[in-house]
Amino acid sequence: MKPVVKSLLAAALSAVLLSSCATNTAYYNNLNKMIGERRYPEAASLIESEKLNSYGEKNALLYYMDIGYLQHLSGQYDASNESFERAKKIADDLFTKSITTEISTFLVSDNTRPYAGEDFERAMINIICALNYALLGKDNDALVEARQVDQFLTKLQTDTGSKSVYKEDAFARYLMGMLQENMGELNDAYISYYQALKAYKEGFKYFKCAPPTELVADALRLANKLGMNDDIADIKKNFTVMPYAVPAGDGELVLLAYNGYSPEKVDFFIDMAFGKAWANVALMKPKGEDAQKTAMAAGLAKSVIATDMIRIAFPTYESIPYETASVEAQADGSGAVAEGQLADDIGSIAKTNLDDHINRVRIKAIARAAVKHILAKQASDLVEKQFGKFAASLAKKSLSAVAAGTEVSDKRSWRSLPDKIMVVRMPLPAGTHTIKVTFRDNGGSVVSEQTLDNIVIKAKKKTFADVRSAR
Amino acid sequence: MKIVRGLLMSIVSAVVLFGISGCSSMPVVTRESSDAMIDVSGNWNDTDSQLVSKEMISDSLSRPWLTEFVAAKNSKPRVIVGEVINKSHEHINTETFVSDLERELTNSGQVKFVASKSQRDEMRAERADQAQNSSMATAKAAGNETGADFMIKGKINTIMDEAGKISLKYYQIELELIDMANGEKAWIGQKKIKKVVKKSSSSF
Repeated sequence: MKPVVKSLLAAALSAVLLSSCATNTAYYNNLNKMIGERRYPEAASLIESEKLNSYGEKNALLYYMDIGYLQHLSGQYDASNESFERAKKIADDLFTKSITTEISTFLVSDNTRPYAGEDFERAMINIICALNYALLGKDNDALVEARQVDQFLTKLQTDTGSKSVYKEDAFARYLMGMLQENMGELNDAYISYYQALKAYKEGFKYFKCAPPTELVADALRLANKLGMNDDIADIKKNFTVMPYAVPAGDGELVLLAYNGYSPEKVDFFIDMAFGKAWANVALMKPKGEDAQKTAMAAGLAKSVIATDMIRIAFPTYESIPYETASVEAQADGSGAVAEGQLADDIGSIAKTNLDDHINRVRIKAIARAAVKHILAKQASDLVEKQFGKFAASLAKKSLSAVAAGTEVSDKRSWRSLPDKIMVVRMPLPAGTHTIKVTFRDNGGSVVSEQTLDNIVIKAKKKTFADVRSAR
Repeated sequence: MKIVRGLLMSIVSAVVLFGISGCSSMPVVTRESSDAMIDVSGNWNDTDSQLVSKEMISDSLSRPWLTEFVAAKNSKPRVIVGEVINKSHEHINTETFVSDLERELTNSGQVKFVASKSQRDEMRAERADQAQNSSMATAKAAGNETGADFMIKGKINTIMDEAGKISLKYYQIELELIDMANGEKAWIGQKKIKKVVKKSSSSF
């Protein structure tokens, strides 16, 4: 009896110890605090120092995405690109699914599988790389990123067809159009602008992000230039046309404002406990590390007390509140103020994307709970035949504790991303300018301000810049 | 009992094996000959760069423009390699491709090769420095450079087609030889490479 009992207890202890720490809540709270205080180099150093602790090999993709983005915010564009090239390679390698890893997700949890990234996160890699290259003045390389994201989105549509809600990225197309136009590739730029308009229109019912009015103006302008008469009528019919033009000889500032924090995933637990003459079903959505630990302890306690206990865990998104609602820019302390427009609602995309495949996640979680329950029952039946009722009860409770302790949902996501991206477009004469950026809350009060010095505007070209506000 | 042990061990092994980081392993290094043709990822690599530059320069030097120039001028043409633009889906290091083109041109012995723009800028800075700091006997005077007769410019394009685990990569490399005197294109060359890359969808 002893070796079997020892094995069972060892399984229970190791499973609970090794599977319980999947949230890294404290780490991300610390990281978000640094981001909110604009301490980007420190945040990048923190990520680097936590490579093995808070990330580990299974979350290598998350590590390179987080550090790549913080290096970008720190102005370390070359280092950021190197990190993102590692991320692309890992994401590509993870296409190869390991059979043994997939089996373990049915026995333990989805956290045993290496994190492969959501499709919209993978598109963001190319978006940030493109900005890195543009900010380095390497426009040709920025266009390589444009082609890569185009290829990725084309493949996504081929592979998923109509099955997924996220199969196009309007903001990626919009940005790529601007980069292509900057390089004189007018035909490609027009196609990107038109695809962006279509993506905003078709995606509106899910992501609630209308096309920026400057994009509509860009598409119309190029359609006129290239003689796309059918498309001109189509654009005017389906979109609000507001005048926007860059005066001849001037250039343009394209300012990307990254606002807020992307939402975080939390567990949604369904616990079903059955006693001899009672049954209990509890729904829990613990927020924060303490609540998470309490929920884990409750699950373990129920698995000991109850005759039968099944825990099912699904991930669900929770928004992280912040104040910034709008952004505006003013050049050189005078002149008109240009207002930002929402161009990418990452939080909305993340939530909709999860909702879109939550049924698959739930079915798998239920199947996993069933597998664990059946295994525990069969194991205890066999133990009872050999060693009696007491040993069987111990076996069953140990395995129920293992099942409950290991049942946590996969809450991993690219947490350092912002919630929204707003774009401010401002025609300016060629030369060097100082730009004052103001972030306001819903009531119009100033939340924070930033100044961008030495912004060089070239005639007939777009100059890209970006700012982050997490307050 | 064996079945129970098996089931229990599978749970324990799954948790232990996949709950902790894998053991680190030393990399395995194998030295290869520099001209060995090895494809690892399916991306543009040194084999592509060397093959393309060799074939295209060989093609260029076999065309009438060379014999016509030599007949007219009674000297070898001076050629400079201009920009090769990367219009592909990959971050291709066009500098190594340009170096391969330059090597093929020089080693052919049929043309004279002129330094690139960046090299000339460096030389001019050195001459300016010599004018300031070197003896008159040894300083090299400005204004004695030999102008190129032709410039080679090019671009690398790709067409990609992907579905599931299969991707088809089609590279089209275009080079043009342009007469510096009148802008006429003396030669246009094109080389195509097609690769099928199949990713494994399961491993053990």
